[in-house]
Formats: sequence, C-alpha cells, structure tokens
Amino acid sequence: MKKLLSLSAVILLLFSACSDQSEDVVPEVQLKAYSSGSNGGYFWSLYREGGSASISFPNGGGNFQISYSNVTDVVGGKGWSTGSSRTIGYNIGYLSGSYNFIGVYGWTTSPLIEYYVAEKGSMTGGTSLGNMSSDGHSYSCYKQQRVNAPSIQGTQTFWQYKDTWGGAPTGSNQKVTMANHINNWRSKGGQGFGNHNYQIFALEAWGNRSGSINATVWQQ
Amino acid sequence: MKKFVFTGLTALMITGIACSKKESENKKSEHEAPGNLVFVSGGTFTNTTSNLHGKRANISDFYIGKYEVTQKEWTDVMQTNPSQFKGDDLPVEMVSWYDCVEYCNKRSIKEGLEPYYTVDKNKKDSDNKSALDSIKWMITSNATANGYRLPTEAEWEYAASGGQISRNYTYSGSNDLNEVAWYWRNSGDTILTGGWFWTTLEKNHCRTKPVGSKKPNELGLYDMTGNVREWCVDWYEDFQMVSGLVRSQRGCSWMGAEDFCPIAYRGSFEANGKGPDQGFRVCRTKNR
Repeated sequence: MKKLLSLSAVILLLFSACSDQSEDVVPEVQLKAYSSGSNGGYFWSLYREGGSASISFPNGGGNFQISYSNVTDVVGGKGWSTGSSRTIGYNIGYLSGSYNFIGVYGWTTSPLIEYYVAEKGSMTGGTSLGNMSSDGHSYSCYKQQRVNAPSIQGTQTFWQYKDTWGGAPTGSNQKVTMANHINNWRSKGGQGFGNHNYQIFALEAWGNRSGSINATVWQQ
Repeated sequence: MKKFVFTGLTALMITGIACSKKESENKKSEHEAPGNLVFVSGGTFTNTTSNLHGKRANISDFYIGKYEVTQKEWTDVMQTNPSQFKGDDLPVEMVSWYDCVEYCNKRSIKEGLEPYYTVDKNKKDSDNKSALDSIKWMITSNATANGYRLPTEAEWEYAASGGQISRNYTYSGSNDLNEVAWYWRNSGDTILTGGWFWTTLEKNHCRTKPVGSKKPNELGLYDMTGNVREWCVDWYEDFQMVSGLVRSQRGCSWMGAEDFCPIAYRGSFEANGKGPDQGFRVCRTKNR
C-alpha cells in the first residue's frame, strides 16, 4: 500500500510538471549546417558553412526567415520540389545586412540546366544573351557552360542560365513570371530547356557576410 | 527402434541437403569465371521496369564483374591511381571511357587473354561528333576475343535488373534505394534531406564507399545502383541526342539525386569526361 501511494505521488508530480509546459508555440528552428523539410505546404532548405545561420517560419504558408552571421556560405529558401512555368509571387518583407543573390533557383534535366533569376543581387558571367523584359523590368541574360562539374545527375557538362534584374524592393508584392524566362531560354539560349526538378525562391550569401531576410513566396 | 528410424531419417535429410547444395554450387562453378566475375545467363528482359521489357531484345550469356573495378585492381594494371578519394577497396574514379578501354586491354594481356579492343591513337574516329572530346581515338572491337571489355548498355541493364531471376526491382536489388545504393543522401557524414545543393554534399563529405558494402542484386552483383556511375561501351542515343556525341553511363553514383537512380535511367557523358563519381566494371564474353 505504501509503495502504491509513493508511485501515485510520482505520477501526479510528473503530470503537473508536464502541464506547466507552454503549447502551440513553434520554436525557432536552430539547425546544424544543413537541413530541410516541408513547411506550410512548401519545400524548404537551408545550407550553411562557417558562421551561424537559422531558419524559421513565423507566419506559416510560404513565409520563411533566415538570419546569418559571418558565414562562409549560406543558401536557403522555400519553393517546390518540382518546378514549372508558374508565376512565382514573393514579398521580401524585411532585409538587412549583405547578400549575393536573392531570387529563383532551380534545375531541369534532359537537357541538364541550372538556372538563376536574380531579383536582388546579380548572377552574371559567361556569354551574354542580351536583355529581356518581364514583369515590368529588364533582365540581363547570360548563359555559361560548366564542364565536368557537379550536378544533380553527378559530374556532367551542362549549361547555366542566369537572368539578373536586381532591383526588387522590399515590402511589396513582386512576381517572377517563369514562363517568360523559360521561353526566352528556349528561344535564345540555344541549349534547350528540360524537365523540371526543384525550384525555390532563395537567398545566397558568401564571404563572411551577415544579414537577415524575412520573405514570403507563393504561386500566383 | 523409433530412435534409430528418427536418427536415420535425420541423417538422410542432412545428407540430402548437403548433396543438393554441393550440386547447385557445382552448377554455379561451371559458369564461374576468375577475377570476381559472375556468370549472367542470357535471355529477354523479365524486369517489368526495364526499358527493354516486352521488346525483342535478347542478351547472350556473358560474364560481368561482381564489383566495380577497385583502385587496387586498377593500380595493379595501370601503375597509377587517378581517383579523387583514395582507398584500395574503393571504386576507381576519375577515369574516362578511353582510360577504361585501355585498362581492359592491359589487364587482358597481363592475364594471358586476347585483348578485346584495337586502339589507334593516331586516327580520329569519324563517328565521333563531340565538340568537347579532345581524344577521339579510333577504337574497334574483336568480337571473338576472350579479353576484358566494357558492358553494352543493354547488357548492363539486363544484369542490373536481375536477368532471368529478376524480382522487378526499381533499383538494382531492391525497391528501397538505401538498401542497395550509396547516393547523395547517404554517402556522407550524416543523412541529407531536402534539396540537392553541391556545397551541401561537399561539406557533408559525400564520397565513394568500399565496393560491396551494400546488398547485392538477384545475380549477386554489388553497387549496380550507386557508388560510381559505370561506363558502357555504346554511343548514347535517343530521340533528342544523336549518336556520336556522348557515351552511355548507367547506375547513378554517390553524388546523384534519386531521380537518376532507377535501373531504367539512361545516363551519358563525353567519352573524355572524368569525375570523382565515374567508374566502371568489366565484362567478358562467354565461351571464348
């Protein structure tokens, strides 16, 4: 009987301790160097080398927040595991510090293509494809061949398409009509365009940069 | 009496089992070739996931390497080791299609076999239309030779899919990629999730692994899916790519995404291309 009472007491104590915990709070996710998953119906990913970085999803849906400090490299964002010619809506609600690229990044196969659409920052280098207009502004377009380089298919020789606007404001809804970029790559790129693999709206920063971004992505 | 009958029957059973095991081993040894090759009994493609299932393609009996060619095997023949990741039991990598052809011939000579290929380094192959291939050696085959060679793409797919004893797996030996293959998610320090970023793989130290360290397929072949992509002898050709630009490669690697790991996935690369995820395994024609 004494033993039963002691056990009951312990159980009661445990329950009372548990009920003191707060609930329905999604803690900020502090990650190791690389992590990813699915949040709010979107595919997300974060990679970091050096320094520190974290990703959280304060507002659910397509929203993400990345803070990084003194990173050798950080790449992260939200999007889709299968890309398409979708019109990608985004709003960079908050941006501080320094970065190299913010925009759409993805791959296709058959042919193998790696592509960038820089809404802030820039991605250039290679052969100029001239300019194109989309969503009310002008992009400078480049293509570059990567020889014996790593890819989602392994070491391959493949082409990159890199379109840069760079003038996106913060705090207002913007869009990237991927169909315009893809049609331009198909008609002027000369290297074709394949079957979609993943496609994300991402930030990349390297060279000991620090900063923070809170952005939301959606399909229009 | 009961004890005697029981003991006797048990002894008979054990003897029977031992004898049939020896018989099947004998049957196996009839076709077993030296040098870690496995006999592959020919026929049509029974694996329902195969590109050639239901087609008239018929493969002749042949021998294929149980493992990808290791760095030790390569060094024993070539006296060099070009691989990025060093280790005797790791698959050799950083080898072009031409390098593999040369290995086959040199190993054949070393083992007293007739070289399968004739290599003319002074003549350009007029069928080679690649703008990136700076080598373009003229290489012809001697179909009656008993020496080592690369598999054809069809032979590779036939063997990877399990031949006549296929269980219709999507990957070579299983429908669970992790059971049979080293690929980008599991070939490094920790298991990776989410999207493929090259820098993620680099920092996770994704790399080749010792041959034979995952489960084999139905024919006892290891790493047909994953570890290193494997050169085949053929020009790669499909409705988008004409013959003469790139050579066939199959099997995915420690670097590749899982989309490209099914047995039926057809890869390719310039013949002079090299990468830390590209290697091969050898074949020999039967009854030569």
